[in-house]
Amino acid sequence: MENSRPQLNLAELTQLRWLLGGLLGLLSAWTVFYMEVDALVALTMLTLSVPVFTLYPRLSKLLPKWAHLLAFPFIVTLFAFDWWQGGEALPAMIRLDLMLLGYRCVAPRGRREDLQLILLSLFAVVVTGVFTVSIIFVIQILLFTACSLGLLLAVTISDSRAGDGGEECSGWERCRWRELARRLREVSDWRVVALGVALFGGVVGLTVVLFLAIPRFEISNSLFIDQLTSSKSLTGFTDNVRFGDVTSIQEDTSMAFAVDVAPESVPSEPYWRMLVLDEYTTEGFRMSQVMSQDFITSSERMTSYLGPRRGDFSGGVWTVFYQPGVSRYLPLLGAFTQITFSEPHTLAQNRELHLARLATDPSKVVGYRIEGMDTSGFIPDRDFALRRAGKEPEETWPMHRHNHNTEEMLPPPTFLDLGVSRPEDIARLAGWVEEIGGRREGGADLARRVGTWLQERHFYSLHSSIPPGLGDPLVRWIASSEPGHCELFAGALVVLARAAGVPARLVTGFKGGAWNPLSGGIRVRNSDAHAWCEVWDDAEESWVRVDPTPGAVLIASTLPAAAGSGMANFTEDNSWAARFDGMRIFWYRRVVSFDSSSQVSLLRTSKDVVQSSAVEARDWLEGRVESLVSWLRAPWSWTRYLSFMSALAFAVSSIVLWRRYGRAWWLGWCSRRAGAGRRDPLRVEAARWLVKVEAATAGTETGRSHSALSQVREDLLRLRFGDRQTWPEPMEVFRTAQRELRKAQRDRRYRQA
Amino acid sequence: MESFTPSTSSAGYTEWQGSLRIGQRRSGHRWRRLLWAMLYPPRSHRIMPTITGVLLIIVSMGIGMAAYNTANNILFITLSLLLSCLVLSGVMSWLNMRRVTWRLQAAGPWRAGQAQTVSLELRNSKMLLPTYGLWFDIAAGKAREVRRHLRIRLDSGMETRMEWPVVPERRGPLTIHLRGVGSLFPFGFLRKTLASELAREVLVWPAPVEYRRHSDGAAWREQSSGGRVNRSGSGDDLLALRRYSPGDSPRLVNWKASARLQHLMVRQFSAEGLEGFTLWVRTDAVRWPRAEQFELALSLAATLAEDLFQMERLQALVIDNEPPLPVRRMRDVETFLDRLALLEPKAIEATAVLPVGAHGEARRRVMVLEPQGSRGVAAMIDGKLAATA
Repeated sequence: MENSRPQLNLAELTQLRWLLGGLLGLLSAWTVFYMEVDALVALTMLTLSVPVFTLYPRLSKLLPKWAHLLAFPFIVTLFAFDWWQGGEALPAMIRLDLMLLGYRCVAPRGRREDLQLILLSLFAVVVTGVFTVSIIFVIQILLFTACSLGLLLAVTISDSRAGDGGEECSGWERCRWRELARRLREVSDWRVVALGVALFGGVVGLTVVLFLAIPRFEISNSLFIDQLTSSKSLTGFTDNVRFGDVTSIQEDTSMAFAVDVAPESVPSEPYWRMLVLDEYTTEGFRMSQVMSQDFITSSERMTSYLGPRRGDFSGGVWTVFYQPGVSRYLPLLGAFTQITFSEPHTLAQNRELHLARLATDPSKVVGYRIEGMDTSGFIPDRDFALRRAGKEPEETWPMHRHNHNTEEMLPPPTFLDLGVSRPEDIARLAGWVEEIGGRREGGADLARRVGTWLQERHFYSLHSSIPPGLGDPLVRWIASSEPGHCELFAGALVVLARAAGVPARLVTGFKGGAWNPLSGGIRVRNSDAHAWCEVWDDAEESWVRVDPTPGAVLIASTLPAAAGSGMANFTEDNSWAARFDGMRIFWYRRVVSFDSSSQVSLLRTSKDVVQSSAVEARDWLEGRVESLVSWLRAPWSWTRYLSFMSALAFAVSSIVLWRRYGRAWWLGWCSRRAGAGRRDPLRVEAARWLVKVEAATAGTETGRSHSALSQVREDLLRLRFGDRQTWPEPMEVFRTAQRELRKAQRDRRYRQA
Repeated sequence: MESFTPSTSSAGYTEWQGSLRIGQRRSGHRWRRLLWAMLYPPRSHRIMPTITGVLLIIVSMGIGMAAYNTANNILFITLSLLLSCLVLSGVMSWLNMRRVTWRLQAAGPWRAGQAQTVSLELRNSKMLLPTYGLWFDIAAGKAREVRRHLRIRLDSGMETRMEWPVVPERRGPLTIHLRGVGSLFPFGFLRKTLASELAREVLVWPAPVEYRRHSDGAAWREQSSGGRVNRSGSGDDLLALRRYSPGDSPRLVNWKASARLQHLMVRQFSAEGLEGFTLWVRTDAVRWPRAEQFELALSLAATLAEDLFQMERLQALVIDNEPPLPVRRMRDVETFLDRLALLEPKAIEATAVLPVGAHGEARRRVMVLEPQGSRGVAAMIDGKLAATA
C-alpha cells in the first residue's frame, strides 16, 4: 500500500531548513535588543541581511569561496579588537555572537553548520535572559525551542533521505515560498500536527515540573557573567541630584518596582526613601562626603542583613521586586529590622539616615523582603538629638571619616549649612524667615508654616523654570512667582528651614503608587518619582517628613493610621499595562525568586491541597449518599413518583436510542471520514464481531444455528474485507450477529444441560 | 518490549518481526512494563548519544553547573528545557519505532558470483503516526553489513519494500542477517538501535561457467536406437500419472484422476529423440588435489546439469557412490544443485564403476568430470571428450 499523502522531497526539506535557520537566527539576535549592550551596528546588519538571504537563498551561492575561508578569522579578529578596545568581555562576546549568527544565516549550511547556528542562538537567548531576567525570556526561549526542534527534525529527515546515496539535492536554492507553503499544507495531517503541538505542550509542562523539582542547594558564589561587564546606572537616582533630575525621571512611565504587601500594612501615604541629600550647591542637592562615608559595607555577599530597627517585626512583610536601571539605593519607607535578598548581595547601610544601597547598580531585577519596617514618616536619630543637646552620643563619631582632598577629619553633619554664599541672598532668606514667623515651637511647626507660605506664593508645575539673574537659584525662585516642581518646593523649604536654624535635608525617592488588583500589590512607576524633605524636630527627637509640594500632605501625621486605611488613597489599575505588570510580578515572585524554601513551601502546599481535596471529596461523596438516602426515605407522593419514573424513562430511552441509532450514526460518520488507507471503524467493529462469530461457529458444527452463523460470518467478512459497494447494512449485520450469538449460546447451554 | 525470534516461512519470507508483532496483544500491567522498560531497556536495545546528543549533554551540564553556581532561575529554566527536549526525543523515538514490523525475503535461486535481491518488507501498524528515518543493517555471510535508510515517510497502516543487491562470493550455505534496526529520529540526539537476530538461510549454488562444447566429438552426436526413451519429457505418449508438485504446468493436471483421488495428479509424458546422459560427479580428493579445480568442476557440473535438463537430455545424476537420482522435473536438478553447493573433496577413493540404480539397470552414456591440466576440467562421455572448462 502506498502512502496516501504526498511527501516533501529533499530540495523542499532543505528549503524548510534554510527558512527555519534564518528565522531562528533572527529571533535569537533580536533578543539582544532587550540587553543594554551596544550592538546596534551588528544587529542592524543582521536584521537587514538575514531576511534578504533567507528569502533569496541563491544569494548565498554568490559568496566566493575565499569569503568563506576568511570569514571566521576576520570575525575573530574583530572580536579581539573589540575586546581590547572596549575592555569588557561580555558586550564583545555578544557582538561576536551576532556576527557569527549573521554569517551562519547567510552562508550555505549543512548539518554541522545548523548545529552551530542553534548553539549560537542558544547563547544569545540565555545570556539575554540571565541579564534581563525579563518575562519576555519565556517567549524567547519557547520560540527558540520550537524553531530549533523544527530545524533538527528537518535535518534528521533530510539526512535519512540523503543517506546511502539517496536523493540528490540540487536546485533547492531556486525556491518559491508560496509553492513550499502549499506543499506543506498538502503533506500535513492535522492530527499529526495536533499531536506535535500537544507534544510541545508536554515539553513545556515537563519543563515546569523539572524546574520545580530540580533540587536546589545554595552555593553562595558570584554570578560569573556579572563580572564580564561593568555596571553603570542607566537612569534614575544617584548621589548627586540636580534641579530637574527627578522631573525627568517622572517622564518615564515604566515600572520602577513592585511591592507585595498585605493591604492592612499599607500606610496612607507611602514615601519610598532612597537618598538623603544634605549638601546644597547652586546645581542642586547632593549627598555630602561625610554622609557618603557613613555607609557601612558588608564584608561578604549575604542574603540577609539586620537593619537599624532592632527586634521589632511589626509593620508586616514587604516584598519588593526592584527593576534594574533605577538606582543602587533601595527604596525603603523607614527603619527596618531585617532585609532578605533572593540572591546574595553586598549591601551598604547608613544606620543614621536609614538608607541602604547595593555595591553596584543592579543589572537585573532584585528581589528582597523587608520585615519590621517603620512606615510612620518619622526617622528617629538619638545620636543627632544628643549632639543637638550638646551631649556626647553613645557612639563617638568615627575617626575614619575624613576629607579626601585635605585629609582633615570631618565633623558630624549639622544639616544647617545653607550653601548660599551671597550676603544678599542670605539676607533675603532671613527676611522671608522673619515674614513667615521664625522658629517658634519646633521644626515641624516651622516646616508647616514654610510649606504653607511657599504654596501660597507658587503653583505646582512639572514644566517650571528658575528665573534668570544673579545669585542663588533657589533664592531667585522663592523670590519669583514662578510655578515649581517638587525639587524646588522641597529645596526651598530646606534652605528656609536651615536659615531659621532648623536642621533640614532633601529626600528623593518615590511617592505613592497604584494598587494592582491582579497581582495584589503596589506598583510604583518611575513617574511616581518625588522629592520632599525631612526637618528635625527636637520635641520628637526625630526627622519629620515634610512634603511642601502642593497637593501632598504637608507633615507626616503623628497619629497611627487605622489598619488598611492606606488603601483608600490608592487607585486600582485595571489597564492592560497593569495586567502585564501582574504577569511580570508573578514571574518575579514565583519564578525568578523560586528557591529551596519555595520548593519546601510548594511541597507542603501540594500536600495540603491533596489532603484537603481528599477530605472534600470524601465529604462530598458522603453528603451525596446521605442526601440520596434521605430522599429515598422521604414519603413518596404521586409527584415524586412521577418525576422519578420520568427521569428513569428518560435515561433508559437515551441508552436505547443511542444503541439503536446513535452508535450507528457515529460509526457511519467516522467511517465516511476515514477515507482510503485509513482505519475504518466499521471494519474494526466487523473484525470484533467476526472473532466472536468464528469462535461460536467452531462450537456449532451442524444445525440451524450453524447455518445462520455462517451467513452472518459471510456478511461480516464482506464488511471486514470487501468493497464498500458490496456492503450489507452494517448495523443490521451487527445486530443479527448479536442475536445469533445469543441463540448459539442458548443452544449450547441446552445441549450441555 | 520487543522480542526477536527468528523463524522462516516456506515462501522465502521470515515472519513479521519488530517492535510489536502483528496481531500480538500484550497482557496486563502495560504501564508498569512500559515504565520499567524505559528505566531498564531490554538487552537488545541500545541508545547512544550522537555528537549532537553529546553536545546537548555538555551544554546541559555547563548550564546546570552555572545554574547551581549562581542560583539563577533563568539557567534552571534553560536546564529544565534542555532535559525536557532530551525526554521528548526519547518519547518521539519510541513512538516512531512503535508498532513497526518487518520481514526478510530472500527468494532464490542463489548462485555464486551472481547478484540476487534481498527484500525487507516494512509495515507501520500504528493508528495515526507515520514512521521516519529508520535504517536497517543487513549482512550476507561474513561480508560487511550494508545499511539502507528508509527514505520515505511510512504513513500509518502502510507498507513499503526495501531491497538490497547481494552477490554471494562462493557456493555453500549463506546466512542473511538483519543485524539491527536504528534511527536518529527525531532530533538526532540519540542513536537508538534494536539488535536483531532475524536471519534467512539460503543455499548458494556453484557459479555458472562458460564451457567449450566439443561438437566434433562423437559423444554428443551418437543417436539412440530410435525407440522411445523411458523417461519423462515433452513427448506425446503418456508415460505415467504422478502427484502435482510446485512448478508443474496447470495444463498437465489430469482433472478426472485428481477428482477421483482427491488430490492433484499430473500427466507425465515420455521424451523423444536423443538419448539422455547420466552426469556423474566424483569428489575424491585424489582426483581433485587443487581446490580451484574442484570448484570449477562443481561449477561445470551444475552448468551441464541445467543445460542438459533444458535440452531434455539429462537422465540421471550421480554423486560419488550414491545411487543415481533419476531426473524427471526441475526439482530433481535443484536437489542436485543443492548437493553440489555443499560438496567438499572426500578422502575416500571413488569407485570406477557407476553405481547401479534402484532397479538394477545399467547406465549408458555416462558423463564424468576429469581434471584437465593443472587448471581445467573436462567432461567425458563414455571416455570421449565432450566439453572443457
